[in-house]
Amino acid sequence: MATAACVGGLLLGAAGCTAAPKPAPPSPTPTITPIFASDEEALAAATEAYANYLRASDEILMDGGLNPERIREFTSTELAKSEIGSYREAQAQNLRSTGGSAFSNFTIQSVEPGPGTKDVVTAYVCSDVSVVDVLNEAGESVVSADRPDRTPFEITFDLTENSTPRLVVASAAVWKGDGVCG
Amino acid sequence: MRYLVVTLTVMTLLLLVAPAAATADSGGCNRLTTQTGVCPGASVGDGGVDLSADREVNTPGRQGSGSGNGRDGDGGGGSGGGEWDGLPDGVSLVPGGVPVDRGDASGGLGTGPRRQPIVAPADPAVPVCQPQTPCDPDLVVRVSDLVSIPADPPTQGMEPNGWLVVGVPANFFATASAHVRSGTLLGASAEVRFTPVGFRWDYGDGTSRTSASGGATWAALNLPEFSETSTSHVFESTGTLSIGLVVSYSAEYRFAGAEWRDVQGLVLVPTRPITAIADRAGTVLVAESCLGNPGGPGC
Repeated sequence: MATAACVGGLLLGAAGCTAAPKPAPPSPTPTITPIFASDEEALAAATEAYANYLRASDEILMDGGLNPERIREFTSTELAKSEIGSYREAQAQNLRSTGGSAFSNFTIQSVEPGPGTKDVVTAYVCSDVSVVDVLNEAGESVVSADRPDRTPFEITFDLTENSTPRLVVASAAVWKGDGVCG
Repeated sequence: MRYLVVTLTVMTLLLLVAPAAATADSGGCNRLTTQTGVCPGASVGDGGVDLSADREVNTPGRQGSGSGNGRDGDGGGGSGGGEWDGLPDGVSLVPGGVPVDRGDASGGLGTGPRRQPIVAPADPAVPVCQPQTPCDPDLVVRVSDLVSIPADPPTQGMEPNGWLVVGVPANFFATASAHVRSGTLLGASAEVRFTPVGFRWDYGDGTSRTSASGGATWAALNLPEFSETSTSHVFESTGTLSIGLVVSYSAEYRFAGAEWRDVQGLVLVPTRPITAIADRAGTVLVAESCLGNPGGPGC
């Protein structure tokens, strides 16, 4: 437990410099309970959340975009909106995917100590769609000839605001840097 | 314990170094575009308008290594010519979209053409549709073909206008709407319909955000000033910022009387950046100095 508290304290130190200082009246520094006892715990929770999100997304796209609301369980409300939009687009264009998405090199970038629920974990991941094909109604592939099979992403995670909080994917942005898919 | 300290040092370095060395860009990148390979920014050669030219773009791993499966090799700049490889070797496209056989050795000593033209008219008097011309039912139009039909540049605004308070949301909004423009496409007169699908703000502090909506003013949203909105951003340090916005439009085209068809890729249109000064609202007394508590407010 002493180790966990130490990690929390150091994390707070590392993240505190980037946290938004609210122009609030002076008040004693609140005691913050870390959401995760260790980096390993945060990594495990975020990896699971990302894997669930990819699986749900794959299932919807393999079904040609049907029942896109399924993604809501695994994403923030905001990301669900844009993802559902793309699934509807797939449905409108009669597109469906085959093959499962994969990922590798899942690495934690930062863990916010709380108490917020937004962007509590940020991670890098190498998304791999090498075995995925997207077919149109005629069964022809619509995959671009120069699709990169592997794309580095920066993923942020929110905590759900219910009795048993868990991580959901809040954003996925292409990471234009070295080393993630390297 | 030493292990932990090392891990955290690496994390701190990542936090400090990574934002300067690379950027995250989510412009229109969802699972569908990732899978179909039209994710803007994911590939240098995605056929779109390359807005990243002024940035350091490192595509790690197999991208550009040349050892891949043929998808990797042709990632050049964003220009259109040469990236469409639906023609046999030796046949190239010239402006206007008519295939020309460069390898034709007609007139050579006793050797016929090395290749037949891919569409050989049975009778020269009967016009036959050439691939990649307006009559081609399998015509593929990419955003790089839209050179002579640009989308309208969007406008952006922020409130407070030109300044902001560190730690307090500043609100950003943009105006971009669906519009149709006419021009010449592959040598023929055409209309192109642009629909805004994504708004990417580059806040000038190393972070960026993509929103499906362009946002609105606090007044229009019936919110008090300095509220969080779907397009607001909280800046964490003082300074002069240049805030850029890139709007991605999906595009469709049609030739006279024909139906609308999708253009492959997204058209990315930047706006003129806004300059804003970030400052603190006032002085806050805290219990400890920043040396004693580097994680404290304002440190």
